[in-house]
Amino acid sequence: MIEISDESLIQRIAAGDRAAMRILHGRHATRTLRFLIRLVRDESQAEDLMSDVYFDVWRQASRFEGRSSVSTWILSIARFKALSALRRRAPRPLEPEIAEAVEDDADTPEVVAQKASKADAMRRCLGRLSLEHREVIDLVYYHERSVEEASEILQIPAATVKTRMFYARKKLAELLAAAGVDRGWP
Amino acid sequence: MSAPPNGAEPSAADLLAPWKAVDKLDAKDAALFERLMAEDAEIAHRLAAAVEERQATVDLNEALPAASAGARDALFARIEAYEASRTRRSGAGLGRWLADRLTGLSPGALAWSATAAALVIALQAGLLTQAYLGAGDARYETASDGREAAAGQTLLVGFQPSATARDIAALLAETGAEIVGGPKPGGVFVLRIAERPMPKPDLDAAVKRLQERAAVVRFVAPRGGPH
Repeated sequence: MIEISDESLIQRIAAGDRAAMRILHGRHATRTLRFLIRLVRDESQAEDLMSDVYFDVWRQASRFEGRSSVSTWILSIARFKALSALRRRAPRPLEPEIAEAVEDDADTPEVVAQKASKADAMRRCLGRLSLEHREVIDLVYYHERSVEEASEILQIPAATVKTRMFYARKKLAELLAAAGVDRGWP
Repeated sequence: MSAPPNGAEPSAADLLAPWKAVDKLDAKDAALFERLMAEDAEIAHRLAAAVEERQATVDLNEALPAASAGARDALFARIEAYEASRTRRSGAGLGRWLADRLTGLSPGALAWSATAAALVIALQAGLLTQAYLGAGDARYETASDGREAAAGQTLLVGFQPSATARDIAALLAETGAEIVGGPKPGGVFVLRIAERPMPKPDLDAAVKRLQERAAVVRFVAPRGGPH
């Protein structure tokens, strides 16, 4: 059975085809939701934002120009919604950028290193990256966006995407080193 | 190749390794990375580090919730409500459609075409003498809000700024139409073309006939319902 392309689905959605919308939603909703959760760090809010994202997809399908893939377009909408929501809400006391600077007496890096495997430590440290770093890490490693696609979603030049990814990885290595995991890079 | 010291520019291999790990390098960068790896065995270790990071990122994301059926159902209920609301607003939508087109006309043009049509309404109302237009046997009736709401098939019409009252009156006489409402904002008039609602093919044909009178009619559109 030949799978209908995302681009064909968007054309059908633009014509008001609910079935096409259900297929597209089924294909991309979970990844969209996870991207949103990683950005806003609030599952309930991420679910609300995902509804907004796909509602926009329904309303704006006729304006999709095909300059990027549909999945990149959806991630771009999701990022815009997430950043708008984050701007509206007051900073939380333990956002990772702040938490990084606070010593955690109950769970020092050494303790983390002792009680967690390297993979666990890696996941824990990925969760402690700044918004700017975790979005680029997720876009490349989980959503498998190319340099150009990430550039479009993040609205920064391709060269900046590369360097931002480098510094995100560098920060991750520093967090891991602080947790007692030395990977020898960078 | 050793790791760059703090503050040093990252190497090309370090910049490209993440995309190599997900096989998303373009052809040029992929060739560059392969060449760098062939030249420096250390780069394979850098790539292994990126692959490890990738796996941890995938594991982290896969541990997050999937989209729920409830969220999906709520989305589609929202879409249905939106579409139902849009259908109800179709009349207002037509108004916006007209407004968009009228925006392109200068205020002067709008004023004149509205003035000419208003003159016809006045004639219909018997406020001016038939002699003003010369010979003619058209039977005019008074335009009023009550008449606008009356049953029948109506259209929204805008007249060309160059159309004279005589042109408009002649068109109405030829088509058996009458102005029953307006001018609305933008110089739009309600034109009744039949005593009863018309089947769509007949209505489309009537619209087409009026559109063909481009020297007099600037635009014509079926009415979306009582405004």
